[in-house]
Amino acid sequence: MFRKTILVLILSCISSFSQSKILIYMDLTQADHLKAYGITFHALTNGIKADWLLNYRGGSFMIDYSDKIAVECRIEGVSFDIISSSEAVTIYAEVQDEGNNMDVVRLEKAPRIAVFVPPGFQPWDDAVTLALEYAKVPYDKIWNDEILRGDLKNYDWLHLHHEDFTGQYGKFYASFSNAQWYIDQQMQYENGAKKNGFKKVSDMMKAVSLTIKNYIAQGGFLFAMCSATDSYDISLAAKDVDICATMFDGDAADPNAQEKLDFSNTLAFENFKLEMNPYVYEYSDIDIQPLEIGNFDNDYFTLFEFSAKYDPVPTMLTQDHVNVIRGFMGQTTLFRKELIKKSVITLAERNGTDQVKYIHGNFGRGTFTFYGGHDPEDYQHAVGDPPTDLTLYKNSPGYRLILNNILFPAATKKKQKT
Amino acid sequence: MVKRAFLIFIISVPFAFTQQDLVNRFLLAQNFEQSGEFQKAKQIYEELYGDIPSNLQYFDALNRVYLQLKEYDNSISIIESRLKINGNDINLYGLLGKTYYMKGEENKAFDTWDKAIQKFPGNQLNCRTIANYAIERRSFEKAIEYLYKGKKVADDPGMFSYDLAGIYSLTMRFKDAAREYCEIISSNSNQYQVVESRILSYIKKPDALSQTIDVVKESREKNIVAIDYLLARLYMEDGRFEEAFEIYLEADKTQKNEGSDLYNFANFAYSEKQFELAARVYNELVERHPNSPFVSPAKLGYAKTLEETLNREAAVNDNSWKPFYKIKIIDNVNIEKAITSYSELVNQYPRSEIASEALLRIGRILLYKQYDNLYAEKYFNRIVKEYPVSKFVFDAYCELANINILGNDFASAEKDLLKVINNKGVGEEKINLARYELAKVNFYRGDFSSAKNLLREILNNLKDNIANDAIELSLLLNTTLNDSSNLLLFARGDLMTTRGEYKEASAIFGEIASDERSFVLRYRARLKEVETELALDNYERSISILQEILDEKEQNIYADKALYLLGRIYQYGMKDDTKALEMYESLLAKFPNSLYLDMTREEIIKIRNKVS
Repeated sequence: MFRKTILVLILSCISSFSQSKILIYMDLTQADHLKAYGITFHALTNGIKADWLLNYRGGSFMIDYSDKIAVECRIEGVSFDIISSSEAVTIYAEVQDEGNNMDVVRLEKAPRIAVFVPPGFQPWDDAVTLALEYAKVPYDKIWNDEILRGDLKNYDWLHLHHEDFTGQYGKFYASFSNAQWYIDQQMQYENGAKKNGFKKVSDMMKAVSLTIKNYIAQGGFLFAMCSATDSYDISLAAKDVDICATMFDGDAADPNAQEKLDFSNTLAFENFKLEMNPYVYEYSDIDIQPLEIGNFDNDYFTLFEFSAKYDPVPTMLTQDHVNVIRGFMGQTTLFRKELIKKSVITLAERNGTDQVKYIHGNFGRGTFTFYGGHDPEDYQHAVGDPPTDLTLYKNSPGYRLILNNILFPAATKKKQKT
Repeated sequence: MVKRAFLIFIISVPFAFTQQDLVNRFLLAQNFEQSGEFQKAKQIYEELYGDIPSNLQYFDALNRVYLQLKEYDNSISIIESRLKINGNDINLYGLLGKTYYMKGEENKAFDTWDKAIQKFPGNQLNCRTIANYAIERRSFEKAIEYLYKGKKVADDPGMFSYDLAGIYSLTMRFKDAAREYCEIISSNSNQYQVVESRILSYIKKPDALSQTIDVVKESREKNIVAIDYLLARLYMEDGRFEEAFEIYLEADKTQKNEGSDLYNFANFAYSEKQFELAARVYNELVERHPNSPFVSPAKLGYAKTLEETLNREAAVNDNSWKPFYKIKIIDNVNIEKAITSYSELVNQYPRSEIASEALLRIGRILLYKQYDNLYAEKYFNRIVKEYPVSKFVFDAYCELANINILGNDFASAEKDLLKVINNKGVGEEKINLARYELAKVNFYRGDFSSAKNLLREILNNLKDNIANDAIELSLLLNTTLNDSSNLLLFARGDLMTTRGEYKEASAIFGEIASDERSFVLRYRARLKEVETELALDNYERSISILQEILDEKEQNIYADKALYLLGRIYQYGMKDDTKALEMYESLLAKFPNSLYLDMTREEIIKIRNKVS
């Protein structure tokens, strides 16, 4: 039976192998891993189907040959091989062999991407927009107004980075309350809240969080990094309670805020304890503190290995050419394992610790993926630091994890093997 | 007496104990409050306040904790009861309004504040106090209203104008902010610097500049020069230099600052590459204020702007895409103007650093823009003889060495360069540059081992700018030393190229290229032949040689460079972008490990952007 299946699969593929293929290999020999995603994305945009060969040479891409794509690869400096149809059949057979932890995922259509950023935002302050710009993947910028008026329906994939969904302006108050950018930011949020009919910024952000949650429930893909991860979940838990101190929303926080949190509303975390001190640059105990990380030189996280044939989604999200990756900090760096809901899948963690870097879960018809840290190639990115020049990090494994996320919504849903 | 003292002691002891107890309880409540245990704190504060309702500290603490616990009605109750006792305390009205506001009853809050101000008409401080409560609640409109009321009755309205302008700029009402700032400097021009710095702090925000300019323009009045300066400064921010210049010219007539504003403006225009305008301003300063201390730097600035104009003129006929090219000789009138300006400086300020710099610049103009080596040499020699301690003397030696190289006088060139190399005070970068030049001199005269030694010294510091050139020459010497007769010929060709004698150089390189016994050098010479032919604008000939190189495919180690050069000839020389793209794409496909990949990609993207 199994042999027959393989034979049928190979034969069915042969019809489309009348021409040669472009194999964009993604192992250590690839010259520019990040732009490889852009090439694949553009192929999809132009109506060309691509196959993602999970766990084959670092998660390679196979695309029907066209001069245009070959030229693009050369211009962008992406390594590739032009292979014959018979070589392609051999690769497909190897990938689909039950004995190998590999699989083929057909990528059908380029997802429509939205990035949640305030007006006037510069791309260098967000690792995802840096990666998208570098890989030349088009995206739209959206902000609270667009989300509240229902624009999310126009997008397949939404990225949140270090915006604060709790209405506490990133909890930068102690260090930056007198900085012009902080003052302007507060004003911008307040004007936005007023415009959208909210008395408080925190109320508007709760409404934004709920709208995003509905978007996921209806099949959207959410990818969040840095403090957008925990602050988003906290705002969902605090749906019916005021957790903001006077300087953030004009009145005191509910003294019983902690007890009133509703963890059934959150996506990923539960039982966390809020940091109610407005002068402390932290939202809750979800985030691992620098002292707990210890020696920065030993900060590496390990990607979990999943069964490509049985767990294709986590496998897609963890495709990389290495499986141990240098850590990086952010306002939210790592998640405390005991506070992650049981239904959530851990994709990467620091070995031998309770510190989790990368998680994924389902909600309704959609999914969410949270990735701790700010910039995979800037260990401690501070406010005002210069942008990371990705031409110097073309093979960044940390950035690859971000780009896995933009292609994953393009995958055709297959029936789960049971 | 003793009895009396004892009696006082007996009476005061319990009182002191009671006092200490109150202090302890208050401290305990504060500790509870700080640790977030507001209920416990409230309980103690209520007891304390109940015991001594007149104590302001207890009242403040209790009200604070009520607000923390969102017990707004309790807060209102204690404030109102206190108001009954002390109805003239403006802060109590502020606090009451604050509590109403926090409770969500904004209108009641405004009523309370409005009444407070009505109660004390003519008191500007009260207006400010209530405005601060409104600002604290981020009710900016109300704050503006109260500040205006205060401003109307204030002796010094400027005090309120700063506050108002601050709120306006925060809320992005830039026109209103500008009006306040103009009012401030109209009444007190000493405030100009403060006002300017405040305006510049937000001027980059969207629409801020245009709105501010509109208002400042409207506010221009006679005899208020500060407003004029502000407008000129804003014009400069907006890149409207001519309009700014007009204002400065007018203002200069009335100011007695010896043209310092004009000088600063000229420098600003120069830094913004507005050279023609900068020249006019420098000139104007010199004419208007002949005895000003700014005259000498202004004259130097003027001459420099003329020189920059020459550079810009030269860049119009840009051949810089070619490996070798001569700068086209530009309008002699303009060159003459620049030289005359520098010469005047030399005459007017003899023995000064300004004169020394001017001589160097004249020499360079003559050498590089007019190719007049002999005349240029005179100027460099003047620096060496008349200004031996000037910081420009080593530049002069380097330029003299260049002239001697061009004139085939290698011994003199060596002497000049050694003056630089042997002087430790010159700085490593300049010394390495001189070492490289001397290595080339040795290369030209066939002393390859001395050349190699000098290059080795440069390569001790790979961070130096000249290191790449040193590596390239070093590589040539190391790989072709066994073909010394051809290498000597190659050096001669190189010297011809330096002298701009491209035809002769091309012939020499062609000769080496046709010598089949020469291995590496033959390929290199062929490429050099192309490069010199290109300098002569012989595109067809260049393309034909490059095509021959390409036909040899991998056998020729310069095949990738040849393809890259072909792309550039089509792109820049023949303006055929399609053909250029074809060459570049071919390079990417055939030579995936070439050093020219990044540059090729950049050119492709440049062409694509042009097309789109």
